[in-house]
Amino acid sequence: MTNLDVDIALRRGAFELAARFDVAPGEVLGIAGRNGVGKSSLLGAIAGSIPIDSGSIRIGDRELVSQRDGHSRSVPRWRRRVGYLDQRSRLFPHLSARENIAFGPRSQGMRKPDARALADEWLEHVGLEGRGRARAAQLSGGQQQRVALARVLACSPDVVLLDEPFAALDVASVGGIRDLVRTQLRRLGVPVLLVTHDSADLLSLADSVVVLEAADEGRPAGIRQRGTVAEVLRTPTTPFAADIAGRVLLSGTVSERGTILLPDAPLRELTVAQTGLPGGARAHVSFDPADVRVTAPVDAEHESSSTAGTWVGTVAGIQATRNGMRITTREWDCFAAEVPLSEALDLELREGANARFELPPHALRCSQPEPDRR
Amino acid sequence: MRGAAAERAPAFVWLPASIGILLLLAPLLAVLVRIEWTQVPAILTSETALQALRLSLVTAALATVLCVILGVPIAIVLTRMRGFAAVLLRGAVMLPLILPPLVGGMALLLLFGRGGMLGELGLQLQFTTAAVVLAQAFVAMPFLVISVEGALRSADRELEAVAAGLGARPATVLRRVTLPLIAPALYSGIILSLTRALGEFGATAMFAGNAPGTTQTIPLAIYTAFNGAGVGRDTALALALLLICIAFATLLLLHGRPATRELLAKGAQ
Repeated sequence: MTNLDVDIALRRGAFELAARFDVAPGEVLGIAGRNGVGKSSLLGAIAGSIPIDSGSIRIGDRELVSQRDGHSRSVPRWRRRVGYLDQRSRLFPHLSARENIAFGPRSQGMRKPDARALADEWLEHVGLEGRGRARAAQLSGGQQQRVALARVLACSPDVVLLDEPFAALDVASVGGIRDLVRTQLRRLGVPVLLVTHDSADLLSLADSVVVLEAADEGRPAGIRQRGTVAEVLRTPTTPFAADIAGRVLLSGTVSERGTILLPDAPLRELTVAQTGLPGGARAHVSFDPADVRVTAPVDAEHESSSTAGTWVGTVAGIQATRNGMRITTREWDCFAAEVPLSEALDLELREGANARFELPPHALRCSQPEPDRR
Repeated sequence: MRGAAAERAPAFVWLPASIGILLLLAPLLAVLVRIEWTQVPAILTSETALQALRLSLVTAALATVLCVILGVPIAIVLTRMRGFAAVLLRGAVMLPLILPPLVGGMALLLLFGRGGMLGELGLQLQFTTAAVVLAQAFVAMPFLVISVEGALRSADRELEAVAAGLGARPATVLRRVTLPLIAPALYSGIILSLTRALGEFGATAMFAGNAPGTTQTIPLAIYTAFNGAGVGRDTALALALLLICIAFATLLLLHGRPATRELLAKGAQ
């Protein structure tokens, strides 16, 4: 059982990505990030469909690709032993489900009867015993994806890459397949990368997660936060992590008194429970919009200056969410609050109305931006 | 597609279409009308006719095999080539479609004939059955290449990538994924090449000659009978009828295929 070590940079026109991480055997590393930030390119570089510009990718001491000091080496795709599955099952239409699964083992030299027996075992693992003779066209989308999963795992790959494997499935079948994937990946015990947009995928499958963000401040796109799923979702330090965690992320600096100073925000100072950070340090603060207390401005004139985590703003938009109404303001783009529907009705909230927002200290979670991970 | 078939073509298309169909079928009808039906069995069982039929079938089959063995690789090379070289190569492959077969036969003669470039080296094929096969393959090859190349272009390259990801080396990908995926097009290509080879006359006449038993295929037998002192017109017509029947049978094989496949699929369930 061996580690996956990735340390690469790749460039496509104006797009640049640099990433360095490793995944232990049996570990499922979630890869989160917005569309176009390079998640799929990262998997492509490991699978062998995208060339890298520098760095290397290794499984244990087996080098898949390396590009440094003028030396370049790339193992062809068919010798990489990297299993890849995305949302499209792409079963071979001319082969039965069983032959699809047996394809990999047979390609690697297994005898036909043995490969068939193995395929039958895998059909059973993915809950499709008896459907071995069906063609892709005769299977539902969920069943096709099960076959595709079995087809990848039956090759006993050294690394498994999953690129939003459930994105094309209807909600009803996702739960079952997710459970199946978890069980089967555990059996295999190899490093796994899981690209997803879905915090539910991260919660149920991933052990840890890296968050990719687009290029900024002269840095290429790359990993901006790494931690356990719980850490990242509880205390997101990047905009995307905050998005999937359903939290609002603010950036500021720690003051000498231990409060957080926010430049250019209607609320200039935030009182937090504790930062543990020295004065002058940069800090991220995140909160759940549902923890914001929204009240009617009692006396608009009196309250116009913000005090003690409270400020008065003008409602810019109201949007129905699963928990109630999400409110955005004209004065502060990145701010959001969520109130139950009944409260929104009582407050007569609508575009243009004034409201008083309070950020209680216990709702705020503070963290330090991570050192640059490339 | 099948569901939309109920929609009829508009009237202004039907008129030229009818004239076109007439133009294609009327000459064939003339053959059927002028044929001496009572003599047909005797003519078709004559030694000359049977010999020509046997030779035609064997050479056309061999030529088709040659087309597959050489044409499929050509198609694969063509799909993976880019730029001007690809345009040139495609043009070269399509040349036999445009050239009169007579010219093709002449060219083959200059290469393999007595005093030809390869003929000098001992590879003299002129007036042999091998020359017939070569001439037929020469004119039939483009049909197979066009058909297979088109399918390769529209084939799902991602499935090949999937196969490679599952550990299949390039040769395995070709054998177990690419070729099965283009099987329908390969089948049409084979049928088209076969019919073209069966009907081939010009290149064969020029390169292989017209020797009964070795190089006289049905088209050449028809020519001989029709041209020879005017006594063999009935023979020519009967042989033509035979060729028409064979051509129709092969074309039915081509177009009957989807129906056949459906039937097989139903049987398998």
